[in-house]
Amino acid sequence: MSTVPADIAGIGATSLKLRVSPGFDPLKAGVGPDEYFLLSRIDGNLSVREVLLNSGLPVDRGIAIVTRLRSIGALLLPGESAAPSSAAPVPAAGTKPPPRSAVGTARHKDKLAHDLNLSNPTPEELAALEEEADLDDGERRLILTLERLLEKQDPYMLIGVSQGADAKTLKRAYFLLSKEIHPDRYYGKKLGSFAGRMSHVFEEISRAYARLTTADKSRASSSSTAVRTSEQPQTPQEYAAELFERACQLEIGGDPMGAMKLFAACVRMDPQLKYLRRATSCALAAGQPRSAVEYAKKANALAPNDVSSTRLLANAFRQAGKLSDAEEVLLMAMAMKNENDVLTIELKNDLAEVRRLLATP
Amino acid sequence: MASDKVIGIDLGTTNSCVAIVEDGTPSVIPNRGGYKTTPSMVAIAENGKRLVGHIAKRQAITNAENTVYAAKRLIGRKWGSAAVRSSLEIMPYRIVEGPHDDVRIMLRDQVFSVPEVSAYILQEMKLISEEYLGEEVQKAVVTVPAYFNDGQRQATKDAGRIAGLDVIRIINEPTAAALAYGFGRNIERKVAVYDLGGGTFDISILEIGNGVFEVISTAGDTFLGGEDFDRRIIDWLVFGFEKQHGIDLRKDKMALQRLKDVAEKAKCELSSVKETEINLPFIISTGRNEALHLQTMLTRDKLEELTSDLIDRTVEICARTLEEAEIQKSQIEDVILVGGMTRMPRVQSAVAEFFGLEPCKGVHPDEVVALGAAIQGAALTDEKSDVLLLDVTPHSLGIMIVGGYFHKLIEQNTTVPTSEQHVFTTVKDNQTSVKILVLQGESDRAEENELLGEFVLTGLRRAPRGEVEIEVMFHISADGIVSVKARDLETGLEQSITVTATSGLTEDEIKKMVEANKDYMVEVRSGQEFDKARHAAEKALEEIEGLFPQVTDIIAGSDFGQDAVKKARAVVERTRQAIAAKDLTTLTEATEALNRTLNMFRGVVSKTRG
Repeated sequence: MSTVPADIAGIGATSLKLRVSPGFDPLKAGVGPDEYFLLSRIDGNLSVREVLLNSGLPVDRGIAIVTRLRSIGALLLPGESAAPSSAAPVPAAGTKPPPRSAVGTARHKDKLAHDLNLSNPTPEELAALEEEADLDDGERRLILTLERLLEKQDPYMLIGVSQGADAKTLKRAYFLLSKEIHPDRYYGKKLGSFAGRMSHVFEEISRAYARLTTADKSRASSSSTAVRTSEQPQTPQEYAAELFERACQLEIGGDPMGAMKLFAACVRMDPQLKYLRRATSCALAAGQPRSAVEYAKKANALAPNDVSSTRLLANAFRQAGKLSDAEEVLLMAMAMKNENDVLTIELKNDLAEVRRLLATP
Repeated sequence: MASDKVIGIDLGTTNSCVAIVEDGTPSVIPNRGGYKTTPSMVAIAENGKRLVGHIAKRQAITNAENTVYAAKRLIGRKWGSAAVRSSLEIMPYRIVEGPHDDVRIMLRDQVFSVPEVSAYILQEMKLISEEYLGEEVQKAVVTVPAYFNDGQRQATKDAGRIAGLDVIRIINEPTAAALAYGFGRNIERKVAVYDLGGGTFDISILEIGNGVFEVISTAGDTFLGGEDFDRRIIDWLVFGFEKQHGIDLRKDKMALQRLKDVAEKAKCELSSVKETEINLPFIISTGRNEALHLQTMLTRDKLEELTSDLIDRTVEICARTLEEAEIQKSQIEDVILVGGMTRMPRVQSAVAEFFGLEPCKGVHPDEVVALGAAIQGAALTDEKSDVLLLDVTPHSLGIMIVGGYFHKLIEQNTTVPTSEQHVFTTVKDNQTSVKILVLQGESDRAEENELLGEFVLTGLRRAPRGEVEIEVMFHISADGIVSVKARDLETGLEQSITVTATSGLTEDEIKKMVEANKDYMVEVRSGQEFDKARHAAEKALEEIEGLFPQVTDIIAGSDFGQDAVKKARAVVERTRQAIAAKDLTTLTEATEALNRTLNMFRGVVSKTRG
């Protein structure tokens, strides 16, 4: 297995944190499944190196994908605000307005990031553009464009910000958009089919905003850099197996923390007993009792009558300071007769240790 | 000629205020006497004439029984509610039961509904603005406390209609205050609005930016306000008088009205001075043709002592609201004080202490709400307005499900307009109809929430329970109107209602309905976590109890066998307690341990058999 180099030609250091170019449309650009998968991991918080490692793809393939995504204008380097113009076959990119400011007048459509081109309108959309309603062409196009965006299920794109945009940018964009499409802004006007469309689009946008802001809150509270699981790889089992190999190497190499994270990723893709047990023991070795308890509980739920998994759970409880739980689990493990005398002795020793700890305040 | 202007009315518990936006500038409209606020009082004089506002207040002492104040405390309330019960004791006017479990007020043999009384006040505000504008006014935005439920909001709208006003929108008082605070200023910040008025306390958190006002969270107490402060003073005076003379002043309606006036006056004075004299000569006759006088000193310290728990309560609500919205105190950049009670120095210092910053002094606590209402009126009707209010639904909405539980579809503090749907199933074999009870509130139990409406969906296919799926859809429009639709997913048959008025049902009646309709209920297909957890726990408990004797026999003799049995007993007990306490977190934890024990039991038994 090759390692991630320090630099990639055409991009630079792999320690850089790339972002997805705002407005980049993977559907129009025709990216492949593995390209899309990798693209979905790039959130502006992880370095290229981390993205490549976490993706579970072979490193060479990963580098090739990153290079290609960069060449079609999908990725931005830190500090860049638009994709390199030389190679940008992305349809909407050229028509983007400059970044907007916070000062407002009555209508702000020109400040929105959305492309109102509405290419290849359907007969229904054409009818809506022509129907009798107190709305101008731009207002209609905006609603119809947003309706189209709803199908893509990408909250960032819907609100018109780049993926991983900070809370303030997000809020400004949401407010700006709300001012264009909130039904109250058209109170008492004849809206035809747009009354329903507007309400629906606004509801979805405010839902997307709520989701992003709650996600933002929880992201701020946990420092985890683990792989995001919003999109599933095509064959999670395969990725998991590959990650498992790498994790084992790390564990042997004396990096229990790194190994635990990779095992955790395995578990998330394919919750097998084997992965769970390894994740538990790595967590114990890395001094992460809470994670250890989580993994051990899952393992125990998968194989309740497995004595050694039960013992692992007891160990995790012990390290987490939950001595009473540890005692309870050990007693159970001992009641679960097993043929392995060594294990029985170990269990007795464990129990004696737990009881000693329980007795000492 | 009728104007298309929209006035903003703050219909307060003790005082009301009207404002309008002209040429982009909001201003309060003074009444004939030049006052910017008008007492929310209505009286019927001896000659049968109706008196509203200052005139009503002036004659309140001599005509206490026929003068209504604080009608806002009664609007949209059920006769059986605690709010009405306590009003019965303290209001000098007669409160009687209406035909729909509602509240009526009796003034000189005439019976008035509460919306009617409120309508007289709204009509007065309409007149004040018409005199000022020189044209007829038809449209208004009226404010209510944030914690008003749907019934109270509908009743307020009804009052508007009776007064000849088209109430185009009801908005929350703290929201209105924030609109007035942020109007015309290019600011971008999170603010808290602390609104302690005559009868209610509200706290709202808003995000302001680029002319958009987004309500993030709102909460409050509909029965905590300036009147409670007055009552503490009255109680103190009454208690002191009774100790001295052995006479309960509350039994005399006129004395009570005089006490009320003097308490309110003393409270206001103590905002600027350290002590004040209370002097009520000839307060009551002893019956031996001899009059008694009430004379005493009230200090600011004493007032603060009498009311400290009330202020503490408001601070607790603030803390809870922030916590629920997951907002740190430090994120709040300004605090806006609203309501006459916020003039009290102790209130100001408590707020400053809690938020760690001095409250904003730029807004007038009595006028800011009406100004905000007028700004929202202009935002809806004036092309040039650059204001957008993103309001939220103040209470959760959902339906009743089997067992009398409340299943929420829309959570409180969700931005409106919004819609939500969920699939439910039948609870009985061959059930051909379902009854959808639309409820509002936060309790898990259906009967503890407010019933907004009900309808029946019939013509379902005869099938085993759980097979027929019914989709229930909720929609709240931007103006807060709730509509609910239920659809049989198989046949596409639909039934729907738009909630327009309260049903006027009491808790008992809902309880009876739960019982009577239990065969027509729906069940949640997924979700309702506690119930699910309880079911799972109860099943495990049952199995474990069955295995106990056998397992005890087998393992009791082995090493640590006794200990293991004792532990298992403890786990069973822990689960039972969690069920009784209805605590989902503890139950989840206990069930986890219970399942471990159960698995061990199973293992022990099967191995011995094999």
